[in-house]
Amino acid sequence: MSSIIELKNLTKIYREDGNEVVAVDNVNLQIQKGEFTAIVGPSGSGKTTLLNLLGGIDKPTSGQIIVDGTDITRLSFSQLVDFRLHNIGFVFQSYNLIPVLTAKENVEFVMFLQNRPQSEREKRSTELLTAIGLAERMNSRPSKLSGGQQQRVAVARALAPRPKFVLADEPTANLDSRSAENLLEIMEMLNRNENITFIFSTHDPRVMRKARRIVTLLDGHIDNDTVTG
Amino acid sequence: MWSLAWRNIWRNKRRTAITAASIMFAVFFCILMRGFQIGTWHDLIDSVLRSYTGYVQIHAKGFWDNHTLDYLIPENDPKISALDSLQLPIKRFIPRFESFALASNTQKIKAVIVTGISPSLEKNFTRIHEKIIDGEYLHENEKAILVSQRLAKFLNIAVGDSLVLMSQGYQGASAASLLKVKGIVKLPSPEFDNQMIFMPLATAQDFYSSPDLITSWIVDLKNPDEMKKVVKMLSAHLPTDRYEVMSWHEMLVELYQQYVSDEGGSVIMMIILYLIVGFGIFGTAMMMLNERRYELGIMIAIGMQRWRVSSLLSLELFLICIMGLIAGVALSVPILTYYHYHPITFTGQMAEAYKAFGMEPVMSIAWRIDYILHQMLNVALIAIIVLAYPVYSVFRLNLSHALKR
Repeated sequence: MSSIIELKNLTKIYREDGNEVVAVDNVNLQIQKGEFTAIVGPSGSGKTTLLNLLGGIDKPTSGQIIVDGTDITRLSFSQLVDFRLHNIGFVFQSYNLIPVLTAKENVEFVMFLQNRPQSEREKRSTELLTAIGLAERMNSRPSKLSGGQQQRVAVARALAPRPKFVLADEPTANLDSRSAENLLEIMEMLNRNENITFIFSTHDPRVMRKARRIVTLLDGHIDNDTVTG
Repeated sequence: MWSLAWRNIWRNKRRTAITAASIMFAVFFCILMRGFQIGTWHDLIDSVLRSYTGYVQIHAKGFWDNHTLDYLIPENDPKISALDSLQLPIKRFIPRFESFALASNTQKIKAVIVTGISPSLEKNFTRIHEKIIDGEYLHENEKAILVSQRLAKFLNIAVGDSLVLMSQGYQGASAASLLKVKGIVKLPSPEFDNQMIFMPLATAQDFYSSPDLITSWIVDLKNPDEMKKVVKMLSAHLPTDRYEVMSWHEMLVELYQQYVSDEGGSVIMMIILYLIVGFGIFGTAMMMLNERRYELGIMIAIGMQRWRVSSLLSLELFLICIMGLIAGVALSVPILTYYHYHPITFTGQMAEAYKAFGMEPVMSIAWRIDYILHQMLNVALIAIIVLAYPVYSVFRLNLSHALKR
């Protein structure tokens, strides 16, 4: 399998009020295409920081992040925005949909930013919302959807631009168990059927059980890296 | 983007409505205030100037400061005639002969201003014939006079009576004559109404022993807004050692100073109103940013460039400004139109105060597109200045901090 992400000696140090906090400490990691990887660890272990670095949202203090051959640490802010637009899908904890757009418009939004034609946007958003079981609710605004439905729309939006991988930061954190189960099934199905790479941070044992690889962080470094399936 | 911006501004309907309403009221008050100010001053100035001095005059150099017959100019100067061929924005040149005299009816005596006029030309400028309340208007060359109403009352004379005028003529000649009162005129300015006598130009020239000489040319402008341009052009074409070209700014200094100070007061008032509007829009911009920092972070995270996010916020504020602006103009235009055609007439003490300054006690409103556009541009300018804040903030937004909830 080809390596889609490669982290080399990745370190992130925050400096606040004269104190240094090492959030990610010399991490070396390779993610292969099609993986369904969970990054786990206690609070403050550096999961979100690592995900932010992987997604080009934050810049590392040192080290390299190579995504499909491109060292994204060398990209400018604007280049990173474009890189994310075309290569990375995001699912945040909650409230990550644009509230004034319908579910369908939210899914189309990223494709609109990519300047894709209207017909293509329509087709893809309908396909994705149907695939995640929200065909009936595609014209509903986020406020009319449950938390689980909103997260499913967020997954559809993340997949809409056909990214190289999807980053999900504790996607089930605010969901009830049934919604969380449903969301995980959809993500797993998309991973299996469409070979989409998912990387998510989580505390949730249900998510961990579904993951085929679990990377455990402790105090910013990899404590354990287990392939489970 | 337009659709997204439009939907976003209605997420907080009350805030949008309050911001738009503050803009609306500021635009409304500024337009109304400016309209009343321009209209009132325009009417007052026009009525004062058209009743006597005109917007621009040409005299012999030094006449305005001395007002004596030592500063006369020829009635038929080729230099003045040549101005007609220059295609200047001037309707006509109107000759005047102005001096002073003592008027007596044998019982009372009073110093008066004697003005020799061309009855036919003045008809189209000062319209003195329309101000006759008793008797008839003058003909060219006749030996008769028009007397202002208050002066006639003071001297206790009426149409058909004769009045003795005594003065000093050109080059020390004595001037005395008995002239028949042909009409009584009511002048809007009480100051003028107390002391004016009009007679045909030839009669004045004969009275002051100065044939073919006049004291001034009144320049009747096609458009008063072009006054400064005309003064400049006339000054350039006339010999400056012999002639002075003066606008009413120099001739009626006190009136001009009142106008300038009123203009300054109104500018300060408008600045205060616009500052309030500016801070209102700024407050909205700050709230928008603070409430939506996480959402903006998400937008940038999923691939929306900062310039697009700032354009979106700018567009939202712009739409609110436009709504306020349109509402302000829409609210003010019917009122402007009404008061333009139905000016407010003052009565009582206010009316007396206006009359004391030689002005008609009327407050009218100007209906001109230029000052309405100015107010719109002012709001647009304020909006552009305020828009700098969200643009700056989005470009300074720390993405990882914005995504923390």
